[in-house]
Amino acid sequence: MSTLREPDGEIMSLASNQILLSVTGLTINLDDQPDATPIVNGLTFDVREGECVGIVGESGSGKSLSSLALLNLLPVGVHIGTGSITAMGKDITQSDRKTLQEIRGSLISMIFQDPGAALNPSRTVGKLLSDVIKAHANISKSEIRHRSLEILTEVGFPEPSDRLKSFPFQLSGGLRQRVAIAMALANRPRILIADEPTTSLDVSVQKGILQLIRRRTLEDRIGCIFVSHDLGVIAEVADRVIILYAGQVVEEGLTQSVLTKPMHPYTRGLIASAPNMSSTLANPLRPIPGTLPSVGRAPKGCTFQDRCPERSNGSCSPNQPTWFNDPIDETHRWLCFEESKLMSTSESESSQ
Amino acid sequence: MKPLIEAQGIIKQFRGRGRSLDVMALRGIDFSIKPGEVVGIVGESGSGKSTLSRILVGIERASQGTIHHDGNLVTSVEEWKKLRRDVQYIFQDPYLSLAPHMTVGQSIGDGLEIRGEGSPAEQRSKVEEALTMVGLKPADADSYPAVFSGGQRQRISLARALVLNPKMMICDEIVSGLDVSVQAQILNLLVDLHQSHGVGLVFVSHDLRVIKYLCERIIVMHRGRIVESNDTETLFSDPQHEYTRHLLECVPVGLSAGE
Repeated sequence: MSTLREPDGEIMSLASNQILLSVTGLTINLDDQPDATPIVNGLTFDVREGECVGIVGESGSGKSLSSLALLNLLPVGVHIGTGSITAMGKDITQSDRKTLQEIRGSLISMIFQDPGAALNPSRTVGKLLSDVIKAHANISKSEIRHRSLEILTEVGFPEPSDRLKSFPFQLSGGLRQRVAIAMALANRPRILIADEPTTSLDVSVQKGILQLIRRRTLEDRIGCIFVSHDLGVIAEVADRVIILYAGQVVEEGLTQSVLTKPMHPYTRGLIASAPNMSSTLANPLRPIPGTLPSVGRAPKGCTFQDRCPERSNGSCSPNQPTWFNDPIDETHRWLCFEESKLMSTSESESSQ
Repeated sequence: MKPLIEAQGIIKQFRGRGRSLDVMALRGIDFSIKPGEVVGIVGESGSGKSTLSRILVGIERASQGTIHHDGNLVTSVEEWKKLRRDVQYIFQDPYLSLAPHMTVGQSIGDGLEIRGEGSPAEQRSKVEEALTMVGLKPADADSYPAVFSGGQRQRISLARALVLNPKMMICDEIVSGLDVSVQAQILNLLVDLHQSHGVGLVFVSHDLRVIKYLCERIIVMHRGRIVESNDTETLFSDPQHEYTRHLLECVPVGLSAGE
């Protein structure tokens, strides 16, 4: 069990906390193929104060597009079809450019995967920070400097006053990511989106960044959305987890519940194919057969039907999957067909 | 058994350009690998693990130190060519390692053509055999890399190495950019190639979970030195060096571990 996690009582009490971000029925469509299956289909979730929600999926599952949509930053070629994204009472999908500029970086901030590409190479650390602070507040130079040093200290940046004049290329990958996080947190946002922020970093650096994101989430009471393909990372940082497959949520719930009792065949496949510290050749990895459907080609109904190892007997009717709930943890639910079949498979696995 | 490759006292210094300082990438490495062995090299970025793996096949030349191949000192171009017949290198990024203007079959068959092995028809059948070994279709030889996904491209890179019938493959972070389910497919393929064809592997990675799964022996590198070298089980159960213990502590364990 993760050392970063708060005691269970802390997680359970989150239910009473204020909802910061609410995504309802979000679909993302391709511009040139309006009739194709949406790339993200019916994504619905809430993020509350002081909690971290993990979004897990493979490349092409729509996890990065979903996180970009939260800031209305979708690239050319795709657009939000239906659904709403409400952040502190403001609907992002309906906001004009000016409102969006006010929201980005102050109410909602984002950390990207590659800190080398996210930082302007011609600006020093001090300039990068003062840029984001000045964009949202009219304050004096000395106040900006004070605020910059304060935020750099908060993100664990060593000797910040000496490094304000450093350029990004003079910093290591871990320090660059800390600068990117400092920029994201500089205006005290209420919502932080982190899209694979540790994928390009070493394990030892990764641990520090995960602890930092976790601590800031709890201490600043922000809502964090953490996108990753690594279930080990998600287990360390997220309270709740959403599993995306081909743009569709297939399972969600408390991280502990989903990862220890995975119910959807895809979630189980992800866990069985990821090496962990107890994997050995005697107990080989079991990859998910086949490949992810290409963009816009996901089957209707159950998107996982073509690769599902548990429907080899063809007993389910993949056109109308339904949501099942875990009787113990009500937030844990998964999209499938036969509750009984899934239950029996999980029992036979745990008895082995 | 005689080591297939033996590196002794390897030092590598990269000259700094302009005002930047010289970088000591490797500070005296002794490393050897027997035929058919699976060895993992772990370490953080900048530890010298890639540089070492590149020096082993001569993509990079050591500033000091020697490489022996089958007990013979390797110095001349001819001797390097001989070494490269036995050892193939597979690169991290499958999007950069395949020539976009060559069909998959041309890329895989290039090595055979350069060595002048067999008639074009024989070369073609070897290419198709290699594609089948990595789980692709013989007809894929006529397609261009652009139509393949990252995982499929990495299979093509493996086929390109395998077609030359190497005794050993050096894999530098070859699954790092791949999704877990694709990563598992490639890892299982490597295990299969090792077990059924006796191909040895040097597997460079920063992911201890992958290294632990695959390798019999592990060397841990830190700042250009080997700080610990042991068989996998001992290294994980009883790490001796402080840095190894630190690395092990940082691995995200996940909730599914051991359950």
